[in-house]
Amino acid sequence: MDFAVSLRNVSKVYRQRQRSERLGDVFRNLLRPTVVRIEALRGIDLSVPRGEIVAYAGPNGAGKSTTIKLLASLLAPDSGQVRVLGMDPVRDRVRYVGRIGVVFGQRTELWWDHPVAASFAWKRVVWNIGRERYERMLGLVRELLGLDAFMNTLARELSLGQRMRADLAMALLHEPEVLFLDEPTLGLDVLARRNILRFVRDVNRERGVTVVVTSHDMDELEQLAGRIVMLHRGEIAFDGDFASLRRHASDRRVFLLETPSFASLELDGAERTGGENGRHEFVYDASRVRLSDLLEQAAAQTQILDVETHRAPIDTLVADLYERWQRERT
Amino acid sequence: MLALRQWWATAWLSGAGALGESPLFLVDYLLRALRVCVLLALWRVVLGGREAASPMALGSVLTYALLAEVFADQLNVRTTLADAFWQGSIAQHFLRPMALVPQFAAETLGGWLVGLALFSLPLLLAAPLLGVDARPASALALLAFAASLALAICVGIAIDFIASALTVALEQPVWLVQWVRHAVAVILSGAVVPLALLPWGLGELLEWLPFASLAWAPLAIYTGVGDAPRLLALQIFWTLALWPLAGWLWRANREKVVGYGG
Amino acid sequence: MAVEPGRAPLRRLLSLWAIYARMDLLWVARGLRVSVAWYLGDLVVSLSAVTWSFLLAERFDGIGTWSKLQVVFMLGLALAVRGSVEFGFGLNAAFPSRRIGRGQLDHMLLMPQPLWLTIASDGFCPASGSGQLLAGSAVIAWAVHALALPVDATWLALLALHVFSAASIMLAFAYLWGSLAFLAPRAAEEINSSTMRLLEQLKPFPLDGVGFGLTFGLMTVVPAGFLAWLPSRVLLGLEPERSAWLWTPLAALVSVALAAWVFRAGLARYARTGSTRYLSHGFRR
Repeated sequence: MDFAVSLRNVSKVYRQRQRSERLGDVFRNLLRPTVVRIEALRGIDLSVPRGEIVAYAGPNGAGKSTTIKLLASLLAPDSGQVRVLGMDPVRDRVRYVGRIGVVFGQRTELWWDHPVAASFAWKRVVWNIGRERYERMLGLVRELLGLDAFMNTLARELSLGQRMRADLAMALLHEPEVLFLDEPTLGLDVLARRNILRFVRDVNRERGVTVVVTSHDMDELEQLAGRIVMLHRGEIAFDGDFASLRRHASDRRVFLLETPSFASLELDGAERTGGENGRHEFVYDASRVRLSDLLEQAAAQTQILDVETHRAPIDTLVADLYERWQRERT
Repeated sequence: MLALRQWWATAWLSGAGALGESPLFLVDYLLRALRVCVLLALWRVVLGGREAASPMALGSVLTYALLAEVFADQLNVRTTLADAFWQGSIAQHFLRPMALVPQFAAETLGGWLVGLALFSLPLLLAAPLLGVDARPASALALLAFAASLALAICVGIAIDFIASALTVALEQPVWLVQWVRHAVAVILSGAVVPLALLPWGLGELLEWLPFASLAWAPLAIYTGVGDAPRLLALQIFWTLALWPLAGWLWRANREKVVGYGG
Repeated sequence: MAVEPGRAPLRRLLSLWAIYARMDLLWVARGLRVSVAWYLGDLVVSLSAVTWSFLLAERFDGIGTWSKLQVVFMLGLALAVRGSVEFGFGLNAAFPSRRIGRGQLDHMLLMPQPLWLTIASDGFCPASGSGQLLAGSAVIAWAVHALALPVDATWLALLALHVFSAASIMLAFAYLWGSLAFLAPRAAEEINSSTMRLLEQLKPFPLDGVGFGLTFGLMTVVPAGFLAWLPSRVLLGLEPERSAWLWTPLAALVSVALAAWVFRAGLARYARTGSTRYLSHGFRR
């Protein structure tokens, strides 16, 4: 299989200075600082086939941004091997960055005091994009991302959503084969997010661009990617599809009961999470409790007018997972 | 008491932050020490054999130059206001239960603590090694200098606030205004060249401007070459004149100030 | 693949200069008030760098053994040297400690070209950064006329060589010290402000009469002597040594080589540690 991205036993360690604010400690720490060793990545093995969209998630400090920086040629691993499109990102940096696109949600590549169009024109020269190709890609991103309204607006005067769209467009002007997106929808409203997600899916489907995307929004990742890789303390804790993730995390379901009585219901094996005026909401773990048992209990207490069940949101499941990991740690 | 505690907590945090994460911040002091050594040697070249034509004796000029470096941060005040504008964090200062001026004054003074302890004091003590007599002209001159230095800081903070308000009002980049301000202050304040040494009677003229209150006034008082009562009076005048101006400019541009930088 | 690195770097450099020049012109000409304020401010900053030396020369009819006009020539050269740096290396390209300390090096590493090409091009500001160079050139021209110096093509070539060499030394000094930011991004972020200030304050002085030790220091550890004094001695014909015209260019070669070596060592370290700090101010603004 042709892999666009390949990490083999990759490890990365940071040294972090610790410092106390007490006067007596301040001078001591300056000369003999306390240094803590942080293993950001531990023996990561990851392969991404060409044309795939991979969601890369994990709690804060799991190592997501470190991985993106390794893939973007900004960092070298302490051990192991990183290959993207068959190239070593650090050693082959100049050739390599001409074939990838990177968008960091918290940083912009736009020129702050210049209109968006000027940044794009600059990119054309620096990335040496041929005129025909540039015009074609520019037309495409302008249409798909709706940039016409602010092409002549200074970057510093763009809203966050506009800025992200412009950054995404800029990352695609040179037709990269791989796109790395680090929290691309950070701070965006629901409509802006939807537009960005739709755009990324279109680009992947129509142009075969391989995408690795990190985010804390699990719903968003589920809409975007078929595969999710979850990091926990620098190691891959899960690698599979979202259905498997749900089963792995927990099989939490939400179940709603409508009854003529307003009295509160107690069900053994389910946790009441809300409801009023005869509507009762419960959450239960379908891997341990059967719905039929719960219905039986409810029916023994009151008349049931209506029943509704659905899966718990993926965010809830993942939060449960993070909590479980935290408990295991302590 | 609360105000004092707030002030001290802010100053302390600013000072501790100035220590940074590495002793490499000391390199800046090393470079400054190097510069002052060279400047002292250059003054000896400039005035060598020309003392008769100079209104200031070589010894006074050397003392002046050394003190100008010892108190460099205080004689050309640059508060953390410019950094707040630059980083777009000015709005956050409005969210603190402290008046703006004390906030920035505390942050600035906190930053000075480290420099005074690790650079200014050692440089002053090393004066004899550099062939400089760092003693004041008299005990009275020392007292007057202390008062003059305090006034210089007041004028300096006012000028800093005015410059920042103008940055916002004129919609200029912060760094451009700071450059210009620094450049103007270097010439007009007497921080590098004592005003008495300027040709064409320029020095007498510049003495009346607010910039002279920043460096020339306290240093001239210390070295005994300036008329202390007149210089102190001028400093008081400029303090009383500039603070209301600073306040007015800030009030007039408040909305722009809050949004500056993002 | 969009870029073919290594092919015709000079042509690529020229095309990069063209785009940056265009952007710089658009930026500085974005409004009449803004442009006037910018150029006025630049003029003030330019003049202040040399004014106090000029005033002292006026007051004492020269400095040391140098006449007033010779001092003026030297000041013009000092302005032209700094102006060349501003012209070609604006936007903090001459203040690498800021880019490194603020985590902005990543932006440069994401560009598909060798880093030296980025450094040599992305600070090109001919419109906004020409003030000091023009002022310096005007002062040199005036001083040359007043001194009745014999000027021919050789002399002009020598002038260009010395300005270029001195500017290279200034930049090399900045990159040498700026590399400290690889070790301590926050502590050393503004180290280039200190080094630039050091050179600026020491360069507009003739060093004749200063002790040997100090002169040696100002030609080695802090190469302020190469930025205006020594080139002026050569160009004014004050330097008796025939080979003196080579000294500044040679010093430039050595400085640049040393700075490049130190910077590369810093980059190798950066590839391992990266930057956990990111501040956007000053970047492409």
